[in-house]
Amino acid sequence: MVIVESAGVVKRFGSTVALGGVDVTIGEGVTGLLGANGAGKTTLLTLILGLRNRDGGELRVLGADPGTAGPEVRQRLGFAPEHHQLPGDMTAADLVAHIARLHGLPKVGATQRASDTLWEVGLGEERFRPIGTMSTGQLQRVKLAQAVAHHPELVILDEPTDGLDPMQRADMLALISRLATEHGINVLISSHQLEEVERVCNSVVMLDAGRVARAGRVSDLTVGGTGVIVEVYERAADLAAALAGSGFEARAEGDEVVRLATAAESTGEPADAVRDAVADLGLRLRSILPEHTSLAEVFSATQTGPTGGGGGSP
Amino acid sequence: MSTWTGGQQAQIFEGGFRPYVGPRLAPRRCFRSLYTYSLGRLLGRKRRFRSKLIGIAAFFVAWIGAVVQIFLAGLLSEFGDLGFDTVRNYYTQVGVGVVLLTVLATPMLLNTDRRSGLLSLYLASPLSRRSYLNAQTSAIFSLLIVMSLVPVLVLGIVYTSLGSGPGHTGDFFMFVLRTLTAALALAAVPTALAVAVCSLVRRAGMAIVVVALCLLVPAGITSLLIAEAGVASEIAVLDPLRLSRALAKRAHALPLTDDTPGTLDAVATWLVVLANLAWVGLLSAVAHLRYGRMEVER
Repeated sequence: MVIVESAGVVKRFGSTVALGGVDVTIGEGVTGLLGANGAGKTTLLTLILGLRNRDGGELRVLGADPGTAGPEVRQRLGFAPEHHQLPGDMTAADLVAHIARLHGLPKVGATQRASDTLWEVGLGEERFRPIGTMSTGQLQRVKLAQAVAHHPELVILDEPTDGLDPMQRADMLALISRLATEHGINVLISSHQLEEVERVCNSVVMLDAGRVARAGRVSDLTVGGTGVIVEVYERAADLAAALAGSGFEARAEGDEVVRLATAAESTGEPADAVRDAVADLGLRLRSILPEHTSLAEVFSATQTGPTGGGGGSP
Repeated sequence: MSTWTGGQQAQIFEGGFRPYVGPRLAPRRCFRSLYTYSLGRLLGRKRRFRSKLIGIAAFFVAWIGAVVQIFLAGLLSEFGDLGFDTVRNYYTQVGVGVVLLTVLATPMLLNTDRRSGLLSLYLASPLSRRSYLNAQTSAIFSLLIVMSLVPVLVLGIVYTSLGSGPGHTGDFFMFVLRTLTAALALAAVPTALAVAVCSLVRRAGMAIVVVALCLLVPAGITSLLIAEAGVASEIAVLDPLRLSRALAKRAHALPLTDDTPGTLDAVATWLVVLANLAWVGLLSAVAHLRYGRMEVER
């Protein structure tokens, strides 16, 4: 099922082109929306939410046009903003129930859902505490709870792990995964954390200067070549030389890593050659892994701006 | 032995997170949800005690005089006619209550939504900018109407029951209609003014100051201009409080005999009506324009 589908979506602010013809299809599961500051992520999110009208192109969210059917589309969406400001004198249960009611749930249903959702995000015991007394980690959970309490078909999370420590990040990512896998809620994450996106998302959309630079399944985008990466404890240069002697294209990176590509004239399997060379040289082997391109490398290669090619922050 | 009396109201609220299969009400119902929620918020419902103080103080000021007047009416009814004009003139204290609630509660509702991030959550719900603004304005407007309507209406009923009110049923219903019109008149301009100011000013504290100045300062300036500079009395239509009060007075068909500088008794009724409509229209346009273009925090 297609969740979001856009064809040639254009959005201008005066003479500035924020989105210059975005063509993208977002399917079910967890999708990451990546891009440097000013790439058009926020503009695309506001168009998906129907908060702004586009200047051109076609956009369908859950089969409807958010530009003309904004309230109907938003009733089926959930949104957790990036900012941490929430009304400090409300309890978490009141806020979540209130937002659920605005999404069309009747009073009793909203109260029940608020309670269930706050338990699900780990705030069951804290649900009657004023939000103003909560930590950043708890605020992130409240934001997530209000976004999913009405059980939307698509939930949009803007920087859901911002301000969390590593343990809290892991918990939040597990929670997001569970929303998609166990509860069937599709998730669109706008994030700067590439490792997290790679960990939790099935697909990504990378924006650059208002256009889609790359899009697809994470597994397809991060697949490497046919080579392997070998890690030893020392003398990587000796291992690289030995492998080159066997007809492989091998390059030492530092004293511990050898990057090995299968050369046309080599006849054996790379793993077998590594095993033999390591045994001959008496080296201690740490790992042999298939060649892999990280999402950060893919992202960096797509950027045309000042951050492009240098691993800049999205 | 104790007996369980919870009956059918008892419900289990912790059932675990699972797909929601219950009814989903139409998007237009969210207007009503926000409206009722905001009414409660203006009165400090589910808030700390200090949040309730604004509403309590405003209603106390607006209604206490009526309570005393009812008490006195009970004591003095034996001595003859109580004078029904005192009922139709019961708007000074109501005016103070209206100012208190408008100045203090409106910014706490609208500006707090922007600063607390609630507005971004609202706009990501089926509410649109327009329906959000309409729901909030309606909540403030209704509360001001209740504040203006109830004391005069109750006084009217008490006086009538004591034999000092309208003699016929038709006259009484006319009194009710006039009282309702006066309440609408008293609430309209202050509501529009407060909402427009709150749309222009970001901080609640600053909005409170600006709304207070806009409501209170024009009275002094227009009075001074009329008395000292000889400007025509029509300029008093620039004073929002006197303007709404003047319309309430006309709604009750009270005699227009006050010639104090700055009062609108000498100004034609059509001009008073037109000026009220112009204020409301202009200020509403400002508020809608501002909210239509407002950037909300992500």
